[in-house]
Amino acid sequence: MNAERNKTVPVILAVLAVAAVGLLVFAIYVVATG
Amino acid sequence: MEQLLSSYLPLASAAITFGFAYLVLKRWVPRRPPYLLLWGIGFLMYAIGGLMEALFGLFGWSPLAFRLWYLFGAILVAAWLGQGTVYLLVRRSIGRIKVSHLLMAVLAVGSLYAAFKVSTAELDPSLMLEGELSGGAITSSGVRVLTPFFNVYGVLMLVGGALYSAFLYWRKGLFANRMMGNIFIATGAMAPAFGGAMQRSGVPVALYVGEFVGAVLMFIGFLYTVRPEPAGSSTPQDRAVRGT
Repeated sequence: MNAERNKTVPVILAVLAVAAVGLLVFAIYVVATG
Repeated sequence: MEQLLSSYLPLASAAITFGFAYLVLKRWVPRRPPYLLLWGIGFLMYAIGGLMEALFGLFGWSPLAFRLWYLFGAILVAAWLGQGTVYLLVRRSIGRIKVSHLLMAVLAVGSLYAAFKVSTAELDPSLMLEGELSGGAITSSGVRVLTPFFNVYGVLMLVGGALYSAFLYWRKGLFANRMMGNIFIATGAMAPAFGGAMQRSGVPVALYVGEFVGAVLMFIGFLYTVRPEPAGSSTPQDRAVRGT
């Protein structure tokens, strides 16, 4: 597999980054609501 | 089926992560880089958490098992794994002090505080979700609120580090195995966090499933990253997975 030619990789990375941000928001919500 | 989910699934997670810890610590031995030690400790914590869940499923409630589970499995594991990634990727210093050492000191003090709070917390197992360990059993204040702080740090560092490494490999068009490995590691690192979030929302066995999926995905990622690549590399991630 050629990593450079695989255009789905940045999409996957972006989805994972969004998921991580979602977890972060949930954690802030948990702290804020006690 | 219930026994399978509440006992054998976490037992499988524990077995995978004990094996994982062994492989990582074996790579740590020759040159002793701190990130491999922290990852090894982190996976031992992961395994202890899974083992305590399995013991609860097989033999029932034990305050000691619960405290060990909450301390290692719920509070510390992600942060210590993430600290390994900090040692791997963060080279900056403030004055003469390395940022990684500074963060390690904060994590160590925070971990001791967490250990004190968990060991002295009042517990009521009737408040847990049926058939599984959950933080709801802790009735003392100031304990559960610690968990998100440790986990946010851990997920940001572990997932952020893996995504950053995967992105670098993709941009350079090199080391497809390591890039894939990092994608699996990032996904696997988030799985227990999602499981924990769903458990907090009252979804049964979500945490156990998330932990098992996370252990499997991170192990697959690890296997990808240690696969030989056609060309050599001197990047930090390469040094990490090869233990050199």
